[in-house]
Amino acid sequence: MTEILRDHGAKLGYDRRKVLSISDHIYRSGERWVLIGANGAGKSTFLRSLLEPDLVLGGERRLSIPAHEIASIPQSPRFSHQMPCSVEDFLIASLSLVLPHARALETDREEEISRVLRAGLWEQRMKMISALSGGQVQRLLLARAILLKAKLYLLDEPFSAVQGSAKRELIELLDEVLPGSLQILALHEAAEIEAVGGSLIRIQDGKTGH
Amino acid sequence: MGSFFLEPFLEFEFLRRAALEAVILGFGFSVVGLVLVTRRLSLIGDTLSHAMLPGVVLAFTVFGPHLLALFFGGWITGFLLLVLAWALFRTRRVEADAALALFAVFSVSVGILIASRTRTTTEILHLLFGNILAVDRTLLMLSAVVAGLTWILFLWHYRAVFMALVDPAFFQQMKRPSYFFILGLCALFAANLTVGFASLGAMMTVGLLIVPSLVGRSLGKSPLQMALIAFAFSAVISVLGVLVSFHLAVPSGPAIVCLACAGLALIQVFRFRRFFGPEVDLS
Repeated sequence: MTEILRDHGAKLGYDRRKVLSISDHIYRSGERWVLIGANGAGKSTFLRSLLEPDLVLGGERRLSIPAHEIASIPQSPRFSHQMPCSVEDFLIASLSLVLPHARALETDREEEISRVLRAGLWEQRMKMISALSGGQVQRLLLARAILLKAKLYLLDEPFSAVQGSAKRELIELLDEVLPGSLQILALHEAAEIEAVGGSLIRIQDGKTGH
Repeated sequence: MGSFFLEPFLEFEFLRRAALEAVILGFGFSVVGLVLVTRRLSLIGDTLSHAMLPGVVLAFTVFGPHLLALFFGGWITGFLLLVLAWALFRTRRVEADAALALFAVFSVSVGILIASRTRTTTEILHLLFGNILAVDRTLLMLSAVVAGLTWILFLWHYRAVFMALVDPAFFQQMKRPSYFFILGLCALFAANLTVGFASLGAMMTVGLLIVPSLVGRSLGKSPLQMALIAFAFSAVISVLGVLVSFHLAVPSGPAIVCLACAGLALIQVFRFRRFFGPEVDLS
């Protein structure tokens, strides 16, 4: 499987203050890694550092894909609730940013969009995104991440507000795109960690360990 | 009815021009207002208007009271300000509104200093406070070009504008806009505001910029709908406002803005009734 991320003596932190030493490892597509550790241990820092190179203070961290092939779900997504936008429009507009030829896309991908929406968002597809609950927003972002067919998924507590049955459907969708992607999740609930599977990265005392 | 609605327009060309100018302004503003309202930058217009002073004063001293010269003076200053504020905002040390306020106060003080050393007259105030009843053909054409360009760019990059407003973080990650595009956007914003100031004046421009967009936001279900509703609303309000100002012999700009606010209030009252009514959706 192709290499996606290579860490060699990487150190992460904010404003030149070191927070986390990363153990050396090569991550490849088809792998799923789960970050575990206490609150504030640095799980989110690990994920954010892959989108914000400023957080890498030293050592080597090589990402072999461009930013637009990364799908990220931050812990607290910040949309503008000021803008009227329906769930379906949100997905179509997001995809057309990444793939050119927006018009061709609407017909080609319609089926795929509706399939992803069936995982708990079907009734909400015409709703305004500002009217969605926290769990629905998480499902929407995950649906978008899956539609993007990204090479690297960075998921920070993606199920924290999602109910049990929908969680399983979302994990199934993640399983489907796993062969072509590297997935890194931050989780803290034991049941979720078990349901998701994958190898664990423990973060403790400012260090990561596999 | 006819004597109220038609006769003033048939009789006076300056009224026709004023109404047309307000409608054209509302066309461009419907897009600009959409961006400002959703990015919480509603008062940027007011800030920019004062900040245009140095450019306007300089243009006046060099070229005299030529509308085009004053327009370009104000436009270039507004453009530079937007670019500087954007550059500062990009460092992530300062929020967008604070960055704009910072450069604006600096610019105003420079403007006042320059003005105090030159002989300034009411022509400059004319550009800053505007008079829509005195709009001439040049300003009409200028406004039409600016509004047309604004809509062309909006429709051309519709999806990108949409995403940039709904989910800025995603937009930044997926499609970092080119510097050229950002500069173009700043130039277009400044141009829209400058033609607004020249005809409506600073304060009233903010009114025509923000109020229709708020109406559009509360009724529209997509950015395009929002912009179209805002334009339709501002067009109706503009024509009515010019008529009311003529019949009551009051200034046009404030009449338009007062009517717009009343219209917004009326729409919100109807929405409130629906909100508290039996069809509340609690899902």
